[in-house]
Amino acid sequence: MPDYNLSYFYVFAFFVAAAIFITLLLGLARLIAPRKVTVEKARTYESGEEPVGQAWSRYPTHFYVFALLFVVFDVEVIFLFPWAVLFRTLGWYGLVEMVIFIAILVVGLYYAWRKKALNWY
Amino acid sequence: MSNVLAVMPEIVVTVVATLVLLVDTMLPRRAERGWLALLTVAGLLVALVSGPFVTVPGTAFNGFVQIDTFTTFSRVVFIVLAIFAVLVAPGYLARHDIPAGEYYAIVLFSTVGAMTIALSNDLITLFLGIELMSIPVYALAGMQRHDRYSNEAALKYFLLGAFSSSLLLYGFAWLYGVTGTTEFGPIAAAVARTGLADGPTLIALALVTAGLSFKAAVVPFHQWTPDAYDGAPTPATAFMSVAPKAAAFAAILRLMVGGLGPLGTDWGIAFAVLAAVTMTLGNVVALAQTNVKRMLAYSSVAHTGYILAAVAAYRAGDSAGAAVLFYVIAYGLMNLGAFACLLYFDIEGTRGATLMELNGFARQEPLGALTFAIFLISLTGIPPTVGFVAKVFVIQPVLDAGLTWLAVIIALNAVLAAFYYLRVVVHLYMHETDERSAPIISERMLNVSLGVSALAVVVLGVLPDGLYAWALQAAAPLVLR
Repeated sequence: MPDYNLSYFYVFAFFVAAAIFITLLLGLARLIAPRKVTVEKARTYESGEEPVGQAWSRYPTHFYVFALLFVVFDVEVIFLFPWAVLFRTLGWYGLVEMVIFIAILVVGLYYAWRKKALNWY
Repeated sequence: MSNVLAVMPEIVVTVVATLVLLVDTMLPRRAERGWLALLTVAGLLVALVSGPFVTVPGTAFNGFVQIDTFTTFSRVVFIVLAIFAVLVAPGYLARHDIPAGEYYAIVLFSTVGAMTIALSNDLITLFLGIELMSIPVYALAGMQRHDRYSNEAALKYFLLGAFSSSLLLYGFAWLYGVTGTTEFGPIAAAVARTGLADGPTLIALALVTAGLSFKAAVVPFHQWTPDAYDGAPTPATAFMSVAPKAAAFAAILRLMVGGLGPLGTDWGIAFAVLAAVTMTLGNVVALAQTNVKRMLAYSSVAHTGYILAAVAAYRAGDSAGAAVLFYVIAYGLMNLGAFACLLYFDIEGTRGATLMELNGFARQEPLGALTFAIFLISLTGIPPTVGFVAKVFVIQPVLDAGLTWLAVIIALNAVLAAFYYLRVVVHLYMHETDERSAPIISERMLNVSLGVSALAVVVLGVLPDGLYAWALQAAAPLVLR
């Protein structure tokens, strides 16, 4: 068997081992653990908090714009980390590239701000 | 620095797009925005001119980017299509309260993506270009936010587009697994050694073919096309129906003919069958449509079939590649024009005019009707228009490659298509205006840009030699020798 096929076999073996392990533990627990059902245990929050209303509640779609902007700047940070690690190696070239990258994102933020996407109603 | 110069036109278009967005935010809310279109066009012209001056042939960015005659040719095609798409839009955008600045910026961003596809020399650059081209177009389809059909179009286009992108990406992953490289040259060398002998290469080939077929709207991967084209705002449809299709064929030429060329005997026959099915189904379904916009949507599927036939005839050499490029330009001009002619009719929402609503248009707007008729005649493939010449250029390599049956199917389909295109001309010219006719809008910018492109359709139909010679040059670097 070639090397890369062998490594897939390890992944497969891992899955099988995991499945057997979990079945064994859960089955064992079911066999030997004592079961005493009380009202308190059956509640949604055992800590005593009472749930109010349905889980399917409506909330402002406005959050979606914030979520979208958040994702953009979240991804920006992911790009900043490798640059920060190699800051000295990349030197001025890296710095200029990063400034251009951030400038493009800042234009996006400016646009969102001018279009009143950041206002709450 | 030479890297930056290599992609100068793309940088210029990106900067112009950002500039348009910024200028748009500084204008007062109710200000006249028609001149933003002129700013956009000026920026595109700068990009067009900057190309030949600063870029030198060769690879850049460590082999991720390839500048050759094909790149230069495709850049011109995409920029010209974007210019026409921008020029026909302002009136419609103002009437339907669509944010103009965003519209132009989105068209520009999509154009950058299309240009990136044309300069890709690597699976990663290619995928980047395809996504950069597609994602703005999904937004474009949904620009008319308060129209249900526009929303439907955007959602369908997005879901199926994202699905096809994932197919394509999965295919790329298999291709990388098989060949151990993402660069087109080494991929071609690797598949030339192994052929289709092992299963993984076949899986990679099938996934990539399906993914690209989705993007180009090849039957049976075309189901999104009619709804997306029909529901999108009409100027957006005009752009959507040509630029992404031209870009998809640029991707097919770069990847299938370039990278996977050694497997041509395998995908060639698949493309020949797909081409025959595509043009036949597109034409047959178009026959049954009474809404002109939907009819043109199906007709664009049929034209995909004609272009794909030229790809399938890759064995004929450069003339096949040149036929694809020439047809893409011809299709771009006449199809964009035909969709844009629907902008003359003032109709609620995004739906195009029905045949009855066209009645008597020639009496009220003789020049507009003439341009519409020229586009339709060119789509049919009747001389002296570019549509006819393009079909001749396609049939020639198809015959040279020994696919006589495919050439026969192309000819039969052209006859079939004549019926539904000419039926529109009948409604334009031979019916009196009656209570069913739609109200008509006449704008100078629309008239002029449609007039120019109709003129180009006729001139290129009479004198195609220069453009064809250029297309031959552009097709030369595609086959990796």
